Amino acid sequence: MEIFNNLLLGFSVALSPFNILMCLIGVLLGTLIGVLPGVGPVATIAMLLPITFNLNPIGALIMLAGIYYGAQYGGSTTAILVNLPGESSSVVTCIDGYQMARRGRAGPALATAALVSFFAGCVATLIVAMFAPPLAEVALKFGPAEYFSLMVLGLVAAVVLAHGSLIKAIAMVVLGLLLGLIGTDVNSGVLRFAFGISELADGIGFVVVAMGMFGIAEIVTNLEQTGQREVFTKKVTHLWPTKEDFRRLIPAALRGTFLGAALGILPGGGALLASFGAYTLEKKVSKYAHEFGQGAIEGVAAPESANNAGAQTSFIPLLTLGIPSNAVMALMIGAMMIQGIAPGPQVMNERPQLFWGMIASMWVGNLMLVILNLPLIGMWIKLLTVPYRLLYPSILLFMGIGVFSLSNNPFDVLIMAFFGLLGYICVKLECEPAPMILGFILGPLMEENLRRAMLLSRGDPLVFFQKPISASFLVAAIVLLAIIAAPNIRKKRSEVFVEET
Amino acid sequence: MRINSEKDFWAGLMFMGFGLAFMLIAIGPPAFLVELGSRAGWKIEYGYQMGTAVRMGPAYFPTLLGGLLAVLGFVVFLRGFMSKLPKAATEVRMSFNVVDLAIGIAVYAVLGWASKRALGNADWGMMGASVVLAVLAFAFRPKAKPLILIIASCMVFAYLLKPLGLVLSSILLVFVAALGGHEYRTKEVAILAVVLAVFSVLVFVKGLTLPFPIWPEFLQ
Amino acid sequence: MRRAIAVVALAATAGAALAQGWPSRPVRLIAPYAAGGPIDISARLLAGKLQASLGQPVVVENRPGAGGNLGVEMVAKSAPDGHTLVIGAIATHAINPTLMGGVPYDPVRDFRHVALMVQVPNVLVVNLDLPAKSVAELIALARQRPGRLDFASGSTGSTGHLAGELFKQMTGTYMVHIPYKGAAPAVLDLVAGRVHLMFDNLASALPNIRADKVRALAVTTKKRSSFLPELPTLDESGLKGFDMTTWWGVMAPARTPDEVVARLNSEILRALEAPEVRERLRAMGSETPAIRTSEEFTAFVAAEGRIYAELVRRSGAKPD
Repeated sequence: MEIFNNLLLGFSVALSPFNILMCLIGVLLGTLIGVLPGVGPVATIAMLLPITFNLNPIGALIMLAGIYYGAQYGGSTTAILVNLPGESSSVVTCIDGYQMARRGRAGPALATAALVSFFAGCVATLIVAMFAPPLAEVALKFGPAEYFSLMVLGLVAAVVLAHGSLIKAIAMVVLGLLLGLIGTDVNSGVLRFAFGISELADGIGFVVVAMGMFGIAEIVTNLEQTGQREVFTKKVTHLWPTKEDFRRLIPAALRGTFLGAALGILPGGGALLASFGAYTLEKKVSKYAHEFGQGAIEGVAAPESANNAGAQTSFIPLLTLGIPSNAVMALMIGAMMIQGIAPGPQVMNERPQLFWGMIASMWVGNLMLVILNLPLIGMWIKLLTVPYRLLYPSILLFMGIGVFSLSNNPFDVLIMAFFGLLGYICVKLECEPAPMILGFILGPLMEENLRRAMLLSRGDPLVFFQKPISASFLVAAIVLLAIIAAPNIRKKRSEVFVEET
Repeated sequence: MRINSEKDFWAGLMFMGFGLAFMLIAIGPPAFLVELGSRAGWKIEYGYQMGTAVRMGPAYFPTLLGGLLAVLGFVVFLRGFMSKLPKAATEVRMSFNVVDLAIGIAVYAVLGWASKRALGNADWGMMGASVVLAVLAFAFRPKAKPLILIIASCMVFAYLLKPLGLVLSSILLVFVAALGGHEYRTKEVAILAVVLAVFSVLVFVKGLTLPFPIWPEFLQ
Repeated sequence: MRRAIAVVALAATAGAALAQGWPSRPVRLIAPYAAGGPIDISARLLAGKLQASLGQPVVVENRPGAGGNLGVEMVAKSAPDGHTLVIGAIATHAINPTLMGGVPYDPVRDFRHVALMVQVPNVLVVNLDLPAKSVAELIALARQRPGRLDFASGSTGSTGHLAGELFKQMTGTYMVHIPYKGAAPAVLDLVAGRVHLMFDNLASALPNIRADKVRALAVTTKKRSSFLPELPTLDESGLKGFDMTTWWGVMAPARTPDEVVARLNSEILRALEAPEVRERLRAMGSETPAIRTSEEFTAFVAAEGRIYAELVRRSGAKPD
């Protein structure tokens, strides 16, 4: 009953006209920046922080949170329509979402993304409301050893992302890991692979790599082929998923939601793995595994639901422990601090209005987003009929502005161009970028946690097997590797054949 | 030995190249390379501490991964000779070749270095190199025009954004990028450029308050 | 002689003329770190106030990279006309020059140090299960178990790390440094008991101290903190002379005219005294700095540079 009272309190706060307005502004703005490639929620929230100084704390935080999940919605739109992931979470959505769009099914893809995100948001909000304090304890159980083993499992999963050659996918993961190591080494402070360029001291940003590998490479490949965007079915049959689609996407969304919600609780990079993990899981359990990579609707439903569920549950470590799980959450801490709220264990007891108000507003925001996004689908589809010769300079300009604004330095654009070239070469050599991107994200985390775990255990490698959570991840990784390798060895040749013809 | 799959052959070489390069930098390149680099005014940091498995140094992880990538690359490379796929599936249809790539990198390196020597930073050299390559592409490699002009348009935009302001640099980007396409219509591109410039100023500078100048420095 | 005087007079009038027209266009305030961090937030707070009092837009521009050095270097090379300012911090102006084996600017000579904005103490916090209720007990414990205690920090070369190294030197103990990427994951491991202690900055430590998730033993400043007045200082606890704060303030390129610096200094001090600004800076754990004038600030930066050069060298924190 207490939970009921708490939620009632929350909704009474979240549904005040002012807070509804704040939430609406937040999700609108979030959708806008999510759709524009390159400009992410981190930059926007940072820019808006001073404006929130004069708002009341609840309204300010509701608006900022709205920007965060609004951007997630908007980001999947760009991923599906133009194959451009603005967030690490939408890398996976690109794979099948864009293929659906190419087959004239952009409508169902967008609708699926919006609907499963809403569903996942509802479930995750409920989880946050009911289990936040006990789940926070789970976050405390994860130390360097556990994170390292989780990353290993994640990397094995990354290989499944690829639909072509297994060995090339592994090589791309390793290449991504290496590129992720560029910059200052966390443990020793030594500058690695920076060639004396001080701009590289803090490493290469994810957005820069993604814009290059996906955005530029895609534009160049399209222009080279026909000057038109390659085979886009002009005629869009329907906007809504069919009954068959629903039958397939519902179980995928359920699995995605729970996996995402579980991973989102872990502040040290769990949410990063949510969409990747859900996609891998789906590809392994689905009857339609062969359709993955060619526009399988599960390939949109699973990562989108996982990603949104993870985004919501990553508020658990923030609200209960004061630990941010990503850059946006770190900004939320900044926002709370300047409002005079110390984020941490006591927020829930000392400021129940704020705590429950935010949780209720998450649900309200998700509802607004789905209401907002479904009618927009028609408009987005129209965007696909804009001639490509007008579309690509626009995408390029937005990418340029977004990447430049990361550190107001042309150097980032130079790096984007480099990754554009690399991405183009990879496309031509049939090396897929998605596994590389995951390696790139996980590389530094993996090394950091490995070395930290070894430092803490004073050099005893058995620590990874002695801790039960860590050990079970490693076992899972080995099993998964076996599952991937077994059919692949048998089928490899014929599979490649099928893809080429 | 015959190369049966060009794709695997080149992909293998690329992976081996990256793997060995990372390993080499982590362990420390041979002395003559370092010497050569420092003579060109390029202070390469090299040879990080290896440490032990117990207390890993900064070189440990990259060396391990670099070695792994080189081995994987070698396997892919070998597959290039053993592939039994039809030629159509394994042919690399790229708009430039390895020599072109080397020339491109060399142009960037030389102009970047020269501009750093003369002006104190590599910015103008980077932009100049993009322009030089764009001109070369027009003259010799019409097929590579999309790639080179798209990259050039980004570079021109990035390095001119601060001095020229958002309006002029975004118009430039749109024009250069449009030249990389197949159907170039001046009037249409001009309209697009102006519309995008206005949109960017409204959304990014006025709306999201990004700290970009709108107009050129000398007009302020 | 006369000519020299004339030249000086001319230069002075030119400076005054410039200062009178200043600011004639928008002022750029460079924050050499990513948007959203405490330095960025305080810069934006200040910019809002300065904008009103100077009558020109004050635009905060983030120029992150190389531990803050990139943005600072850019300002050091900018025109000294008061239209480009930077937030210089303990990292860029005291620690990095030694830690990174040289930086492309002179932290003292290449700048006019306009005004110190923020000073945040670090707090020595330990895990609740650690059987040490005071600094003396911690030292005893560390002597008892040499090399067995772990201290966490937000990064190699951060004030948290250097405070730990100084602690080790002054007490002659040995503890293992565990660097993290930012303070938050380090705090998580501290609360969970995977590391034993940490010299965390006050703002991030305070909520956990108040919620009894960690135990505070001392502050690193010479004076007690007004946030935790009952908490002793390390100086009181037997480590004579232990005094560390994280600080940052506004700086301008060298040769910025005196008039501009003076005007900026008074406007910044006034902005810092505005209740809404002071309130928010306090929420970041900042005490109002005792240093008021530009000259004092310059002397302070020079002194800090010497202290940390020595500390970094002796601690072996410098990456090779």
